[in-house]
Amino acid sequence: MSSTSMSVDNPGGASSGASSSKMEAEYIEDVAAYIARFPKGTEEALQTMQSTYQQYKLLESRLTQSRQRLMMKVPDVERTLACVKKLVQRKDEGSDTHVDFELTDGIFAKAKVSAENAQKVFLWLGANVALEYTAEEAVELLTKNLETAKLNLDTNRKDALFVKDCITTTEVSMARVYNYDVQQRKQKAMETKE
Amino acid sequence: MSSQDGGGGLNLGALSPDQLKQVADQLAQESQRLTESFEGLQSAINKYNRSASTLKKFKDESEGKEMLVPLTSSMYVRGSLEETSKILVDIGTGYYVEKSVEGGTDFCERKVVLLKEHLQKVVDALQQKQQQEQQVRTALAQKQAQAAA
Repeated sequence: MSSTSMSVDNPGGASSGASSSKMEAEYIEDVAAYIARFPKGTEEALQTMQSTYQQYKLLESRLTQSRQRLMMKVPDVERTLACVKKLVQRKDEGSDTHVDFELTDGIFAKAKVSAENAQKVFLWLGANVALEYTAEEAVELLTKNLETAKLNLDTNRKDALFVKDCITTTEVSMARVYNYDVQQRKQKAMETKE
Repeated sequence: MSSQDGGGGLNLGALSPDQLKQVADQLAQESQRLTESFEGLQSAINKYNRSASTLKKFKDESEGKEMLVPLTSSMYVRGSLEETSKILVDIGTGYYVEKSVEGGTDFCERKVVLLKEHLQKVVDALQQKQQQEQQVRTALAQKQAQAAA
């Protein structure tokens, strides 16, 4: 059985907007001036950029992972929410619910949930903890979780776009610094020849 | 593979190192695919074994027994067993069949036997592929040694 977590205030592992301003990749207006910032010149500049680039890549893969987790989580919470709502409905009608539950992989057995029992549900919170909630509380919690998950997914999407931009900018910058260096060397070689 | 029935040993000598490498890589790819299906089959066997042993235990449960019913993977509700003689079996492609518990156990056990047969075939094929790859790589190493000499 999968242990999909639905913790109360787990932000879903997304770095919620934290990456915004302080991480933004810098666009180099003037390559010569940029290189001049590094005491050891081009090599140090390229090294620095390479390490920033790797950080961005790491961030990107983390974002992809948490995105996959959220994509799994959202439909799961939606299903659970629909289930609880159905139970509440049955409870209000005062009728028992007959269900086929998954006994093991691919095998289903029949069970009865009385209207009285439908008042309380147990939600799996993750980390081997399940809690009992009244149906109303469960609806509230799940709705909140669903909202949080969707919000996180949105933040995640924005963050991913941002990181993607940074990656492109850094790639372009690295190429420009490198090309500038090649050009400089060529020029120097020409001068010494003359 | 055709290399086996076409007198592969003879062929190998006639191939260029590049071609040999290509053949070896192709064989490695096929091995990879077979390994994947091996793992898939293995996990399916485990699944059905688990289901069969669960069903054997389930047979002894009594109707009306209090339990926590899993409605989704993360939600449970108090309920009671309603029917312990019949179960639904997922037979794939969205079809479910009602069976007796014994029938379900039998189904799972037959599946295990069937899957084990498949597994054996995959294992055999995998060994063959790996052997062939080994042969080709040896031939390739010989060619390269000759070229270097």
